[in-house]
Amino acid sequence: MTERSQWSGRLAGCLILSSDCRIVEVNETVLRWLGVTEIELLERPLHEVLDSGGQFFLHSQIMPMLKLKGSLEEVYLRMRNKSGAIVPVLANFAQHEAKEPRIELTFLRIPQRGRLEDELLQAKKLAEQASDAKTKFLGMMSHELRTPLQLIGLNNDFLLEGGCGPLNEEQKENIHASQSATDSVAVLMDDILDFAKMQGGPVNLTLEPVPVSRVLDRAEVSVRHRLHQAGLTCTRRPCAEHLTVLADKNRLQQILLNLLNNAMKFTPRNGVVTLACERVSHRVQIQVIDTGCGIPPEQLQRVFEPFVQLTTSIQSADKPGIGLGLAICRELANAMGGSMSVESQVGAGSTFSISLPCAPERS
Amino acid sequence: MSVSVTVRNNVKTSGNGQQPVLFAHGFGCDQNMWRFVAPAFAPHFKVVLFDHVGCGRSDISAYRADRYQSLEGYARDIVEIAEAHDLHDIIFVGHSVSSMIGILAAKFAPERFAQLILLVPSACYIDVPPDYRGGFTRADLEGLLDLMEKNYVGWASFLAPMVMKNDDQPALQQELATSFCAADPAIARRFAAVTFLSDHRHDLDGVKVPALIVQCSDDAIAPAGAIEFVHQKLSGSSLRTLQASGHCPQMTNPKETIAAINEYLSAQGVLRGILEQPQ
Repeated sequence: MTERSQWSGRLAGCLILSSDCRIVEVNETVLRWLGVTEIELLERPLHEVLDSGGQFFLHSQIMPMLKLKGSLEEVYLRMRNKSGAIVPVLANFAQHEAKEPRIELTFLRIPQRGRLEDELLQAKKLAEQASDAKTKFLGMMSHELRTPLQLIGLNNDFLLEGGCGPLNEEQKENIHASQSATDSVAVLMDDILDFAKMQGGPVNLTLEPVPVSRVLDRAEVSVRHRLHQAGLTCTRRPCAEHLTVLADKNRLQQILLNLLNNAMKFTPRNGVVTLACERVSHRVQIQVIDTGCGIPPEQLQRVFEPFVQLTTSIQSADKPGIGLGLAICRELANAMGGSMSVESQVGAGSTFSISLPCAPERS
Repeated sequence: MSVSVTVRNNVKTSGNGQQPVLFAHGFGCDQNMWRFVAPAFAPHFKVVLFDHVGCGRSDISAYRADRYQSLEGYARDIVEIAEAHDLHDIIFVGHSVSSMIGILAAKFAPERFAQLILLVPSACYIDVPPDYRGGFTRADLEGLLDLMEKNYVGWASFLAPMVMKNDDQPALQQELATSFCAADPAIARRFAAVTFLSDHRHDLDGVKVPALIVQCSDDAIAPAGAIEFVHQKLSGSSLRTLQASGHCPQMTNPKETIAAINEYLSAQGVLRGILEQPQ
């Protein structure tokens, strides 16, 4: 047993198994951990020194994988010592094909790490439960709040139509202000609801060829009035007429409107918001470029994360938001097989880009 | 969105024969687990391999927790594979949990199945006092789930496709090798729970398709008592005990496994000729 004497003094446990998983060699370290003698261990199947979960795991997962892969690393197992106590170990397996095939095992004992990982797993489970609960809550809350909002909107319409008698200009203005605030809250609610849905499962999409210039036209028309009110100019870079992406047209519209709203929110008067698009290989890149306050580099990484609000000099109470818009945009872009990115320079402006696959050419 | 059954289950067909042999892999691996056995059938049969959803190269996005909360969902997949590929007169070969899945499929669509070859089946892994010995207690199996969770979550690489650096291997073979037994960890854990915590003993009643049950000589997962139970309940089934030990005879002792199936199919008049043994 010269081999054994070579590894007997080591801190790692070593075992050699026959191809049917019986122990044919063992080092002192394993004997010490398990509190058994060599005679007691030799010729016994490995699963007899594992806990029952480990027996199952060995035969249902480790053995087939080992047979196919030839080696396995970092397998967590629990051995049982003579008195029945658990010895958590991390094991590496290697199969040696020879005249007499052998399986070599090397273990490290990991009592501390095993405990720590139990705690981590427990924490992960709790976090997942909390996250599920949050998503459910958001969904429910949005529905609950939307109903009274609709009621406020209907009442505003009723008043404006003279349902309670004629209104003077000041009264009308007040009701318009009330309706505008209601609309903003409704948009936020939609964002929350959208986000909650996305967290709950895949987004339902209808992917079809969408002409890019038409989507940009629609988006521009929808925000033209507000751009004007905000003292901003909208420009278009020339975009090839035939560029067509594979996308859900309503969702793409939603992304563009979101980006345009952000551009308006963060660009001071007399600024410019530009829409551009170009083909890059098999994809089309659509850009919303503003001359706004820009995003500091340290915040740039996080703009697409949910519930992250940028802190900028220009943002104030009249620019409401909960930090979901860009997170939703990115989820939608990803779901359509696309991606989103941002470049920005503080004081000079930001460029948000959506990259989407080109629609297949019509044959 | 409807994903075709072939893509969903990564169905692969080959072989020169007409009659299909449908191989269903067990828990813990994918269709690669048949690579030492399936080629023997190719000269005589149409060989059909697939991955259960969540395993191997199946379409993981097709996983629906409600469909796969019991083995019936997996059995319905098999019937759908048979329908999509117009398979009749099927010789079904199932390993471990897929034995039960095959039995359920054969009950859903008995007209499509000719033979069931069940490797190391167990209808219930848990002991049910006073008479039934599945081999494990519920606590044992929860220990397994716990162990899986630690291996999947703590070391996510355990199930990930392995990166192999064998430049001398042909590209295709290398691609195959990197995906052995890859699985989605969350699905694998649920599959284990569905597999090992459920009691399917009552599903053994009323199976009309003839069956061969193959057991290993020393199987820690499907003990002799559990296999004997399946044998007794499946009327007219044959039982064959291999010298092979362990729970994966098709991988550890492919020759003996092929020989046992060969003998059975010949006796049933299904096979004329001899299945070729692997080198």
